[in-house]
Amino acid sequence: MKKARGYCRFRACFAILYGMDFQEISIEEIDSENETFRISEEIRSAPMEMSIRRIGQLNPLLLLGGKRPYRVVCGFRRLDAMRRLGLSRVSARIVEEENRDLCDVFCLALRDNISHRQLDALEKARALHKLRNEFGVPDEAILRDWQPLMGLAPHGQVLQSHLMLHASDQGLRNHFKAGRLTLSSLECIAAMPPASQKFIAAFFEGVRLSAGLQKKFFVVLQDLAAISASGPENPLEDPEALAIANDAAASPFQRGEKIFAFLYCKRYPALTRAEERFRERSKSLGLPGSIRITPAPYFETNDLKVEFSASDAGRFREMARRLFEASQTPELDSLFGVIQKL
Amino acid sequence: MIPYAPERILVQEESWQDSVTLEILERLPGVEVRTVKSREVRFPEPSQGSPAPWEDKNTLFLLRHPGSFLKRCQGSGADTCCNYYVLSCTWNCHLDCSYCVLQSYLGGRALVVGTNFQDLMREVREKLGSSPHRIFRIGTGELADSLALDPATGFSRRLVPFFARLSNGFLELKTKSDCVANLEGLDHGGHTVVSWSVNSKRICRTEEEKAPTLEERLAAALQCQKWGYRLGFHFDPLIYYDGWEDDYREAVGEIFRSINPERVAWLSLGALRFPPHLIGHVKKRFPESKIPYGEFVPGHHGKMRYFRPIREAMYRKMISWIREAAPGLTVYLCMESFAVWEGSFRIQYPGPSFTPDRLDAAIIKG
Ligand code: SF4
Repeated sequence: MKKARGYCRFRACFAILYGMDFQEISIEEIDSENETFRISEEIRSAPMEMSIRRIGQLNPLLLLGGKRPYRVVCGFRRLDAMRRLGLSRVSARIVEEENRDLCDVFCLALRDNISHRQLDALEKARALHKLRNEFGVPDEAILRDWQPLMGLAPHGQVLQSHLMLHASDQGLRNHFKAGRLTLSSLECIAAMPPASQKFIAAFFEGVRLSAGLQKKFFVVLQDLAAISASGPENPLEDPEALAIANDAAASPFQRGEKIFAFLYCKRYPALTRAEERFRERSKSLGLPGSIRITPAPYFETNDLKVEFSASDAGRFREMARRLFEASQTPELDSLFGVIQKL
Repeated sequence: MIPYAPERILVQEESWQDSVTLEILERLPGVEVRTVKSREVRFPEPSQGSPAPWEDKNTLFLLRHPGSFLKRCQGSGADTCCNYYVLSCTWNCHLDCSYCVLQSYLGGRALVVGTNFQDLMREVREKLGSSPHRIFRIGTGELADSLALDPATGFSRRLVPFFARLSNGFLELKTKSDCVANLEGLDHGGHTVVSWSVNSKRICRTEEEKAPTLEERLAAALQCQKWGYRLGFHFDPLIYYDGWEDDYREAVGEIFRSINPERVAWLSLGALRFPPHLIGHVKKRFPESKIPYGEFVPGHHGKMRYFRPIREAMYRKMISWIREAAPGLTVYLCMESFAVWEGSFRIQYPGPSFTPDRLDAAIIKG
């Protein structure tokens, strides 16, 4: 029975390689612009360049013959390194194009990549996009054969989210590659309309968020957008948010934290107002910083928690005295008033 | 209301011996029926793995429930707990309210009916017999709507007369449906309260799309009142949105324009609460719903609920409108703290047994 297109045909791959000889060819005969079989996200590789400079080309390129110039099947990074080193001849094996299913050739390139390195999320996304949209491999074969090979769960949703990643804005992809956005943030933004992606990519040029804060940030951002029935970039277009993003006196991380606080305040207005009022009133008690007064979590009850530590009886007496003094003031009633009449 | 019409019925092999099974099959003629071996039966608990693809909501699963039917309400432990028991004989619901907690753990799974009714009745009798001086208020609407499947199961025709003979047991059938036909002519002995989960018309329309409208629910309630049943109403979940005041006030007015408050045993208020992971399901399944964007904070049992001042403001206003329309009605809050109770009723909470005592008194009044 004929296997579905794209089924990882070991025999087909083997047949391509079988009987191929090494050849030495001129680097000028290779079309390095053609990216039909490219999987690597980053072509420029300093370690590769250093290795070739020191010990020369260890592995031949795999090229697709037939028409000239040759197209690269495997070895984009090697070729780039050799071009930059000014080498004029390279060792290669040539796959003849005639009677050849290009899908098999791509599968070979993909297997070659998977076999010797870990693909990053964008490379997996590129590979899945090519299998599906350029080489017509059915989803079923991708889920069953290719996703597990790439270390991905064989679920349609995983395929969809990778296809979105592949189509995401280049600026966002750059942020991801530079470690400024986590994969889950990128996945989240990749599902947004292109204009929103572009805006957020530009916004993050000067703003950084820790990985932990990114998750909360995008939930709050999307909630605010849903509340106002607008695009996800809308809350960030607020003049106050833009002013924070452009605050030259703050570091990118400080800007990130301030913008998050600004958005959080908009998302949870009653809670942040109550917290603010509580902070003001507890300050007005005039207690030293070593006595901490906190409300119940989210003001769910009327309780207040008072904490202090004292290392000797003298300090203990001092704290107790300050608390006693505070207990005689109307500010204490007003503090409880804040909680009781939130 | 769109009546439940399964595409297939799965029957656990032992369930063929139960009269409930035969009755249900008689009421649903022409539906494909398959027998399932007992070892293939997965009871619909989250821990039991994914269901087979055909075990979706178009499937009605008749099986012998292996565990306990009667449990304390999950709200037990809240300050103002009402000491309620829940009796589960059906699981899951086809009405698909956007906020329904069932979607997060029963999801699109089959609707399940327990056929071992004799076991259920024995368990209830034993429990009630073990504390003969205590009143048990028991509801069936926790893991399913009490009456939405009743046209197929006919459970009300078994449960109502059964409870009529229990001196210390009172049944509450809690529903959003208008499936009350089976209740006509039953000997309920004042031991059954039929209650409706009600909401503003806007919420009924947008978040409870497949359930009957408020008018239809009230028409069904009026019918039950005429048949001599006591009624209950639950504004649960109360949902906060721009314009909620006008809408909820109108709903309160509408209830008491047709229903005699003297025949209402109780009315509860419960602001929306849900386990945190429900939000993701709602956003995905009901992208138009505005529910996920409320100002929720984690509360009792880790459930998310509106920030306390929002809840208290809603309760206070609701209580004042209810007092206007039905003075003297027993109103209580579901799963709330003393602080919220006091902030809402504006009096000190009299003591832990206050709510259960009031509800017991309300039901005994007959
Ligand atoms: S009627 Fe009740 S059980 Fe059914 S979907 Fe709505 S909330 Fe859930």
